[in-house]
Amino acid sequence: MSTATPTSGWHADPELLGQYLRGEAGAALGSSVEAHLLRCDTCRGRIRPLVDPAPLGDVWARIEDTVQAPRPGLLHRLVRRLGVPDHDALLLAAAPSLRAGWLWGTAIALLFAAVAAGQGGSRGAVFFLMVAPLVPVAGVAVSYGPDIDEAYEPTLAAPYSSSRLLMLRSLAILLTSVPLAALGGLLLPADNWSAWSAATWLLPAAAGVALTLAGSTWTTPTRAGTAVAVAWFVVVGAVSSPEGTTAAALLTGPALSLYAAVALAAAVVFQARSGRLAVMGRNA
Amino acid sequence: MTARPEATVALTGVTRRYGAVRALDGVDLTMTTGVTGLLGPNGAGKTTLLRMLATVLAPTEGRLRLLGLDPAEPHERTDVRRSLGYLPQEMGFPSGFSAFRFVDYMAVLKEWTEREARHHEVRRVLDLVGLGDLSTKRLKTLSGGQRRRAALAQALIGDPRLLVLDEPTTGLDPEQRASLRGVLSAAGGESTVILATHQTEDVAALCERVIVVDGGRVRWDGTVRDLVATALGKVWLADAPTPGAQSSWRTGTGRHRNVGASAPPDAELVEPTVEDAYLLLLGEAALSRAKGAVDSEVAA
Repeated sequence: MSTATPTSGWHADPELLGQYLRGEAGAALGSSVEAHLLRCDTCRGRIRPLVDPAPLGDVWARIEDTVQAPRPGLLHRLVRRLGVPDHDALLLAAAPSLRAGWLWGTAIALLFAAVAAGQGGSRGAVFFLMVAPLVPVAGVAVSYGPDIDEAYEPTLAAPYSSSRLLMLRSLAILLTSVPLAALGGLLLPADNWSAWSAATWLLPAAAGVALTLAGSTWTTPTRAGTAVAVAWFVVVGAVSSPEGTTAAALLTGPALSLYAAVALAAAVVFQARSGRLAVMGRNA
Repeated sequence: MTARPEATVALTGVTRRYGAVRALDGVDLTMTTGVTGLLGPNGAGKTTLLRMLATVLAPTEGRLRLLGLDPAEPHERTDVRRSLGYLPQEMGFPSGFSAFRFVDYMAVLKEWTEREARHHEVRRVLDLVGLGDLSTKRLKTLSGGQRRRAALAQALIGDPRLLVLDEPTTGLDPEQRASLRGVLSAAGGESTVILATHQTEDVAALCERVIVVDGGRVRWDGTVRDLVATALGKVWLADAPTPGAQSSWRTGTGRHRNVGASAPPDAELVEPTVEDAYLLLLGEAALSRAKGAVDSEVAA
């Protein structure tokens, strides 16, 4: 084996070069060979035919990509930092309801609802109860579809599953809007309302989201979400008394069981009919 | 005897209704590799036909097969989409996206999940449409023609076997159109390319075959040369509009170009173009439709 110290007129033999390429030369010897290669044309010429070009191509592609690929947007980077794969992060970054404007709008609407609830006593709490479950419903409704997605048609013509795209975006919306709505719930005054309103509205929200997803297999998510919102307003309005006390019935045991059952049934319907998201004009 | 190439697109009695309106009415077509131009007036059914070829719209009646597969079957439809490039007539872009990010996004939807390979492909198609230097600019800051080219770039991802383009040259300047013709003619060597357009000169320059659609039906299906031949002896120059000519306009030389079913005996005949033949064909189709309406009224 050759010695490690490169001197004038010294050249690395093929065995040493082979060890270096395979990473078997060790740290000291390897760095010594590397330093020598940087200033020795003869050894660079010797090592060239020993190098497998395939990994070099991959390395070069990565360098090229690092240098040339534009920096991803803020949302894309944030989602990636949370551990979401790069390609899924890109799909989320294109969702209309995951852009900063929408998220700010959601936060402001919830803040407004929470402040109104704090100042309006029981009636204010009913108001919050009406708004909070609709936040994720609205987010899902404007996450995908012909009337929302700017590039809907080519998206539909791509092999990526439409139902998976809708589910992926819906999940991301739930992860952003539910914490915001929960924070709004915590702003409610510390009376009997706040104890349940901070958390129990999650079940009607889950039912609303599942109904919106299921409805999207018949019509657009926007229309489905609107229908769910209208139905929710009607239900809350029908059971609310001026004092807001009877509205509490909407968040007690039997009602909560009903929401869970509706969410489950709607999820089953969505699963069974999700293939219908893949073609336009399915109602013709 | 040479083997007949396998049809990549086959429509049998395809009809598409929107309520009472028949946007397509019993269309039978087959296509193989090569570039086919689809001509027709607005509302003729071109976009409906292309949407079906792009698997985003289902026929109301009839049978459609693409690349030997049935797009009505979910798994086969996904397989078709893996070999499909589609440029719709109108297309928006996700807010705030650059050309690179948009094409990158579409590449993810086309199952290019490996980042470096995907970015390499994105750069390739952006270079093909001449947007390599502008790829990092936000799409909303680009011109209409540049945005159209970004939309076209996404259709070219992965060299699709079936390329469906609805008015790809809209908003492009002559140089860009010439460049695009090069891209599409190269694609037509291995793939089935079908493009709807109002630019008859693009059809003349690029397409081996032309299909004229009107009123939801195929009015012409043949080579460009055969279409032009239908107008031989029916286009002439005169010092004034000729009474009875179907179309007549004053040209840059001051003389009038007349297109009509029969030229006067002493007319100065000129070489017809695709546009002349198209105008004649649609004029005859319109007359035929009017005659059909009168006949059915009389019969009633």
